[in-house]
Amino acid sequence: MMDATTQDPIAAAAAWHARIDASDMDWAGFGDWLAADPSHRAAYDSIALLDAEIGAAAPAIAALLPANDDDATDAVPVSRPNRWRWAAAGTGSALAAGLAFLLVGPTVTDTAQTYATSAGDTRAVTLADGSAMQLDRGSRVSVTGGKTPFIELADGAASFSVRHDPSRILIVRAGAYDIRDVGTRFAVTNARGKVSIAVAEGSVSVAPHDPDGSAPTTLVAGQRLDIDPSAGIAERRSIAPASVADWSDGRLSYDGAPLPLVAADISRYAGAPLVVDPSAAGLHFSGVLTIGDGSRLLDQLRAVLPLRLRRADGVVHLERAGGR
Amino acid sequence: MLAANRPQLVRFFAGRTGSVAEAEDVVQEIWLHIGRPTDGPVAGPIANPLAYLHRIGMNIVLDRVRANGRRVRRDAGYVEATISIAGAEAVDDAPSAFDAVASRERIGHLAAALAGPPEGAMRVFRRHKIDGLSHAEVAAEFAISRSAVEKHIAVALRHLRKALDD
Repeated sequence: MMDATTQDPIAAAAAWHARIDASDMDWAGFGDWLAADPSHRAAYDSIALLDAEIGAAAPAIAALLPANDDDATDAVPVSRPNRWRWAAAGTGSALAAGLAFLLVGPTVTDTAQTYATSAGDTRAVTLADGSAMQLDRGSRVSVTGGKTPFIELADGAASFSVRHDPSRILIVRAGAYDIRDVGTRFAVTNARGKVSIAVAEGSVSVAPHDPDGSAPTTLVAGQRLDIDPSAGIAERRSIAPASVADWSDGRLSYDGAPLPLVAADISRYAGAPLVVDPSAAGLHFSGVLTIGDGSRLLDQLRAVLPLRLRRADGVVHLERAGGR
Repeated sequence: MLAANRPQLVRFFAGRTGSVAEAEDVVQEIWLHIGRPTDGPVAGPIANPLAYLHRIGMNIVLDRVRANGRRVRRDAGYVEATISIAGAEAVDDAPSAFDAVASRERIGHLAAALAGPPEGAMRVFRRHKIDGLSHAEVAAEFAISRSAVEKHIAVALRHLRKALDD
């Protein structure tokens, strides 16, 4: 607890690590400190590994935390638990955005608020209309509008829990499609233009945002729609409503899902292209994968399916092992 | 961009890894990384290229530290032997799948430490690391400076390390 700890390598390592994203980070000074003694490097390794571990496990840790927070606030004034309830409901910036809307009026609706997550983190955001948005790992969205939010999912996945209010509609744009909703729980994925929508409660309507004359598709609870515009395929399937946005607790669960669908998810988390060869395209997967940092998903899949990996031009191909 | 900064980067990563040869490898990997357009999204515009190159290299080194098993924490757990630079290259070497299943006990310890003392520092740390707010957002929420956020986070990391080593 003492503050005269500049000679303690762990304390110094923690101080350096807390600054590595600062715009005025002293990289040369950090390098000198690291080089000064081998114990500095070991201390830094242990701090950085711990920090990365907490980041990777954040959703699972968050699930255990609220109870602890209640315990910890026993001795403090009443205002704090309220603050934590707000905090639990969303992020400060979303609240700030809502507040700005109230103070300044409709003009701020033109300003987009952007949220992004790294490969290891998910993030909860409360939108200005009170709806809750959860962002998956490696995702990017921008939000405009106040009471009628317009959300553009540039990349990755997000789930939404929308308050029922007939006077306004929340719109999520993913790739070339708009998803409209008046009060429901659903999740949207945009993996380089391939769009998936899965509905847990209520219903949504899906349509290309450049109207092409076709009627919007309505999806109800327990349905999922996968759209691959480049292949001209839109496929509707039944799913367990509980599996919608299961990534928010660090897992992906499948029930008889075609391998190309599973591979698309893995490719998104691993940040590397994955191609399913025709020999393996007919395989189906049922089970649960643990997301972690994304690098182990394929390995988990290979443990249960007869798959062989082949690399060509930096792309991993999945082909069926054994057989022919 | 990389060529001009190469000597500086090699010197830094020699300190980070303890070896000039490894530092050369890391700098090579940084080059491969930024040369590959399909890599994951970059958070925000690159205002400071040199800092960006350092950050990429730091991630590469951390992945190597994990892969080499030069781990301080020995118990099997969440990040054991993970190689994540480019899933494509790592997958073949990864050990068996179900070893990676998260250790619930470990996560319980992490959550307990995060809910423990010192309260102020842990609260700042949780808002950043668990809830995903940036340093600037945490600073605004708590009405403190960014430098104070960094100090809280450093204090929290130091206590977490100690709490989990005990």
